[in-house]
Amino acid sequence: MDEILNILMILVPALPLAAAVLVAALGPRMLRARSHWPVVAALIGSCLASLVLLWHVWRQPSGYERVATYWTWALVPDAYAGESGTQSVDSRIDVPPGTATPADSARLAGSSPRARDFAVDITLRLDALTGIMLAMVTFVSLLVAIYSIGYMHGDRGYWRFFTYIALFVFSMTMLVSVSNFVLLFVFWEAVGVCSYLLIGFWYEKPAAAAAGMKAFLVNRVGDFGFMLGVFLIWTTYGTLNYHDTPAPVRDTVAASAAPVGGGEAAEIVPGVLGSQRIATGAYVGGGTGLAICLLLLLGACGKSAQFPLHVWLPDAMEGPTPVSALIHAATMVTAGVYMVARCTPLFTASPDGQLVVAAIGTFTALLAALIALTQFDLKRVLAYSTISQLGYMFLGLGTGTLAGISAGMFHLVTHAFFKALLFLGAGSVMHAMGNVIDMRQFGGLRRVMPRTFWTFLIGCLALSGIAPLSGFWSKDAILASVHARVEVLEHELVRRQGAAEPDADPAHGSAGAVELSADQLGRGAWAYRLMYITALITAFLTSVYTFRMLYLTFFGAQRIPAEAGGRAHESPGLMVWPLLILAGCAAVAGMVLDQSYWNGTHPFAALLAGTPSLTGAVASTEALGAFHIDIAAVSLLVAVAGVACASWLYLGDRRTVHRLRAVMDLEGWAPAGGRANLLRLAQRPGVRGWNQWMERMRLGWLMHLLVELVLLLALILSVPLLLCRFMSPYRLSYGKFFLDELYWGLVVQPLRGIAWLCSVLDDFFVDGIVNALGRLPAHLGTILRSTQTGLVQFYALAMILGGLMLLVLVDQQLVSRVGAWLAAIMAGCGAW
Amino acid sequence: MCGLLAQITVSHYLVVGAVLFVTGVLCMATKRNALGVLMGIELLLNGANVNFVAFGSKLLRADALGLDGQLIPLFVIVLAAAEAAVALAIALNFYNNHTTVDVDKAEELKG
Amino acid sequence: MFVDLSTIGLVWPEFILILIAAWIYVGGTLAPGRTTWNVLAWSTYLVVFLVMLKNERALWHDVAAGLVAINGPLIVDYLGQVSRYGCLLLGLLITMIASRAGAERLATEVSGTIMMLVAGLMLVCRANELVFLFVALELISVPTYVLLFLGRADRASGEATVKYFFLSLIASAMLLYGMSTLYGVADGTTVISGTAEVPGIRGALDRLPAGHTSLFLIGWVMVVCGLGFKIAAVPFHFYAPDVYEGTTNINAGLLAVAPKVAGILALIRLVLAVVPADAAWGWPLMWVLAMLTMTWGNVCALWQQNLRRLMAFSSVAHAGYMLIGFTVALVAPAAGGVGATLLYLTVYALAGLGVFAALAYLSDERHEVDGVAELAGLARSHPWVAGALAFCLFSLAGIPPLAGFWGKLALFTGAVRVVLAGDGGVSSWLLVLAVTGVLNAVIAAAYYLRVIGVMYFTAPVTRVAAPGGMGAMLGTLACTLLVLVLSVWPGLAFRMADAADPLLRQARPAVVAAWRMEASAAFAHDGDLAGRWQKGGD
Repeated sequence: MDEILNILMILVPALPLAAAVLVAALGPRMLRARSHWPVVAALIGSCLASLVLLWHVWRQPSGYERVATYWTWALVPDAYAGESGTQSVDSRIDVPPGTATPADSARLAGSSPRARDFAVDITLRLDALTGIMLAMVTFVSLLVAIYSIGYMHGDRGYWRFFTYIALFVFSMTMLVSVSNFVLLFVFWEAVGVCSYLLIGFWYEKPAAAAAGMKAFLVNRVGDFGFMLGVFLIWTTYGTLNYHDTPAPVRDTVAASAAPVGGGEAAEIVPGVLGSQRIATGAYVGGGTGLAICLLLLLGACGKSAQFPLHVWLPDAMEGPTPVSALIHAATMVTAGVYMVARCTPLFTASPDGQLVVAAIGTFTALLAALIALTQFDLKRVLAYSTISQLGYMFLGLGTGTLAGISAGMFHLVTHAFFKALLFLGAGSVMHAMGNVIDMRQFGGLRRVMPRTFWTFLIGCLALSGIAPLSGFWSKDAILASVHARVEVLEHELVRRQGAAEPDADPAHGSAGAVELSADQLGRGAWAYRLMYITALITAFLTSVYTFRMLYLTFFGAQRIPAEAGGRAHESPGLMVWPLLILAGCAAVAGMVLDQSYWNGTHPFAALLAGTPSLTGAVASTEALGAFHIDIAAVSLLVAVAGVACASWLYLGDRRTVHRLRAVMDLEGWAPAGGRANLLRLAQRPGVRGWNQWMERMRLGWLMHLLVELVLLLALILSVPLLLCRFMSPYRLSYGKFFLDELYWGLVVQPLRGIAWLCSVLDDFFVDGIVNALGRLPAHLGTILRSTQTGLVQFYALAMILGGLMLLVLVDQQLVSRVGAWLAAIMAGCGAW
Repeated sequence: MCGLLAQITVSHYLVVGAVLFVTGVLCMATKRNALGVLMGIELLLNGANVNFVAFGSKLLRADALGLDGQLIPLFVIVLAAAEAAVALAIALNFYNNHTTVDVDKAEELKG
Repeated sequence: MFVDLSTIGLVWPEFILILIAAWIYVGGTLAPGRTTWNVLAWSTYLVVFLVMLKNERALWHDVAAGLVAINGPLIVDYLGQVSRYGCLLLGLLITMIASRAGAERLATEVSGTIMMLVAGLMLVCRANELVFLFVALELISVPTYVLLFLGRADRASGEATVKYFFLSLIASAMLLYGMSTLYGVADGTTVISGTAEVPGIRGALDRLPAGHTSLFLIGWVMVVCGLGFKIAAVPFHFYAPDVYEGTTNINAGLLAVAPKVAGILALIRLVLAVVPADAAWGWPLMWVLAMLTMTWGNVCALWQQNLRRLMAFSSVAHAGYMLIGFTVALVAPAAGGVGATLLYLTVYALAGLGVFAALAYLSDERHEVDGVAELAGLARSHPWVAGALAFCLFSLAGIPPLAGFWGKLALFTGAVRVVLAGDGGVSSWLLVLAVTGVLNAVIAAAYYLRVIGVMYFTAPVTRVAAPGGMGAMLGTLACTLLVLVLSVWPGLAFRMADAADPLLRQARPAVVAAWRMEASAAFAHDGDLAGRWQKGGD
């Protein structure tokens, strides 16, 4: 059984890799239009293997994890010196009261300061979190691959596309199953590279090439933070493995004391997320902990397109639509969510870090929803919607409770289904419309593409959070967890104020693994309440833009652009079947995975809670999977209100929309304070009469002065109004809050200036020096070459003389000694 | 005779060996003829052989162990014979191509 | 000299190789032909390999039981055992590459001679005795002369053969002279003594009265000179460019690998083994040799237009890198310098052989690929060969993360580790060495990349035929594949190299014990053997 599991674990990534190699080798010559076969076959295999693994995890007791080490990839001996002197790592760690016994701390402390190797093992892990991610990734990939057979049919880069897809699935499955931060980073980059390749898949299009570059560069910022975070973890914890690792016996003293050849003498290096560390709660809080959290979060923001690094995702829609569905909606962008969920113990140690996670998530959710309201590009609306939903997930993770984290992951899974469905539906529309994606150019496609319409409708309902579709359950779970968090914090606050001294009983009403100060409690309660309200507003906006998109595309008068060439039709079966399957999943996944509403169980959360790093790390496990009817009602009400609002605006004639837009665009406000208006005011009869009276009183100069002053005042007052002309709410939303322009001006241009300066310096100074140095070996070479005379006797002499010189080098007294020796021999001969 | 022998020590043999070695070097460096060079090399090897025999001799050193010192030169002589056989073949080949056995004609490969 | 039946029992693989080689010689005259005898040669290597592997367990049981002398004429340790498998692999690869070398009627001579050479190599791997070492080295040299002679019959080849022959003989003579002196000083021929009644050369310095080390030093330096020729260290490298250029690609490949392996192993077995740990005179010699060798080789290679000449200078440079490891080992035996050198040697041998195999694949009797320019456009006409060649060249250049990079990393970190740990004087010298090594790696990249650039970015001038045969192709791919394995799995190579390092074993026995347990899993399947291995090694 163990062997089979190990093989399955390696098979999940290995099959796509093999398919990628195969298609890359044979694709251009032999496979050509059959390039999808190896990939689809490999994905079926991977998917089945993942499901078996998930089933296996499901059958195991909670806290199950399996770590399989295949081989050592890199090894630097004695890399981690540990702490100097007697101070151990543990003395800096805030051990939460009551969770760690002194014996535990002592054991950990004893093993900490020893020198350690920096070893990167190719190690795969299997636990509930990984199992869920694997199953989701391979399942969606399989459907998208099948869909792509139809969508990419006839493309010049057909084999290239499938190679990249297989490569991506390999990287993504490795990303979620590795058990080491270095490898996590490696595959983090690998999925980034695949994403870059696929965004720029049609590299002849300048926009696609630029979008790929932008995604890559923006991600670099995040990756930089991530890398620093990993370094910080290394210096803080002395290991980069998630799991506990037996350390090789390095120390001579330790080794000679230990029996030779015995494995039991090996000490255990507690992994960053290993059971030993979780059991003792030996995590660093304070400034270092916060720094680790924020740096990891920066990485997650880059990959998962959170503010302020979200700008790459909408542009990434230049890639083929299946790519948008797979990489930029369902899988790769959730890598950040996965990583934060995986590192929960690190975040739990730093409540401020968690608050930042939640805040970033909420703000991004709102921002993206506001932008999505006014976009006309169908795929961009979906892209902003993805950003917004990812923000929800971060909000769930940021609550720091088990309920919140499982809600976030739950939303990740349901979102993968319905967002992939929506993207594939959009692709289907695009396919039929001759690659036109501007919603102003088509409409009323309900009759033309009925199956696409119905599946799209299911996706929209799920995304809006209408019961009983999947999005409702997961979004509701997030809202409920935030609400519960607020209540717990407020309860704790009240309890503290009631009690004279802090209660010594941490089991009751503890807000997390780390004891919070009153200040933190108050701030947290306030912030989470604000977030809860913001999330509700975002939910409303979500259903508005979702149905706006639906109505614009499928309702109204039937309009088909010229690019479609009069051949607008429903997509072929290969593209529709994945849609139907995904629609089925999007519809029922929520009900199947969350049964709290009728029997109070939550299979998904229960399974996820079995992840070792979640069970031990998160203290508050109460109310797991409980169904809050009040919150569900509120969120459903908000969603329905949004749908109603969208229907009111966009069904029937759309005059209301135009009027609303005019209002939001502040039309007619700006001229209110112009100079011409004021001058016209002066012509009013009453004013003119008074004016003439002043003239007669020889006080005309006073009057003119007064008028000029008023005009000046009016001009100053009208500046904000004039600005509003350009920055009206509508324009802000339509222009994506001008963040791209802001980055352009504040980041890109200054950097270009510096780059120019550097290039000038480089050309004139550095190059000169380097060129001079670079010629040195070449000149030396010409000199040394002249010794290669070709004469064998010269070579022989050179060898002998060279040897003699070496002898003199080694034994400096040799010359004098040999001289003396020879003289003595001579003397002896003479005597004889 | 005995007195004479008593004055001769290992050192004297070493000098003979060293002289042979140096002679070999000089011969090798000055002779153009490939066979002459080969002779020089034989002198080098025999210089070493003299050392071996001298070091291993029971007459010269009371504490010498075993027959190693005598056996090694035997090995070396056999090897030298084998090498001489190869040398003749090589020299013949060289003669076929260059119509001479002067090694200073072998100077086309250089730089 | 201490020989008993158990010692003879240890060398049966070499015996078999020599017997089969003789059979191939005789049989070749009776029934000329290429394929049959080549297949016989390949299967001999394979069978010997497998039987050795099978008997490994029994051998270590015998060692544990005291039936085999560990420090007799043949030393029985991890380095010796593992490197013999490497030698067999080398023989298999070279025979494969040379499967279409020379005239049809001489084919058996080639394969038989190569087998002799491999037997010599395998003997060097374990030699612990002066005569044994010398005869084994000659068993490599003499077949090499024959192979050079068989290579081609033109002016250049004749000249190359004469040059190699004479210079190699001089080197042998210097080696022998050095050995005679060591013998005299030590009163014995065994290097590391296993028994009390046989004095070892290793302990000779301790027995000498103070101030009487000159004779020992003369011997030691002469031995270094003789072996320096084998590894083509400056100033004993002069033969390399001329001989490589004059001979065939296959022979050049052989010369680049086989003598170097023999030289490095002999240096470990004799030169390093006899130096006491606190000797201050050992490392300056190696330091000078390393500095001179790598710089000289690299700067001269910059100008070469002939591929074999370029590779010759590059092989000189690589010898220089390997000497860095020896310098480190002489300064601090526990720093793992020898292990790093062994790792580098493995990587260099595979990648270098891969390069020559690819060139051999493109050449035959009538036309050898000579100039760099002849490779123009190879990427288009022979993409696989160009890919393999480029891969091996990249590895030689030490581009991360290829195997050559790991090798250089091991060497340089060894030096840096001593710098960080050590005191003022020696440390700064080693720092200079490491920095020079890195600079040299940069210079070296220039000429390797030039070759790759010609292959990939230049339009073809003449159509390159590929008459070298499938054997050469297979050899190329096998070498490339092995380099690839070392690139993606350097951890294993690091561990094995460290476990094979005899100095490290003496310095830190417990450290190696843990690693050797893992490495010995290749031979042993049960746990208790690991313990015996440990006992047997010391």
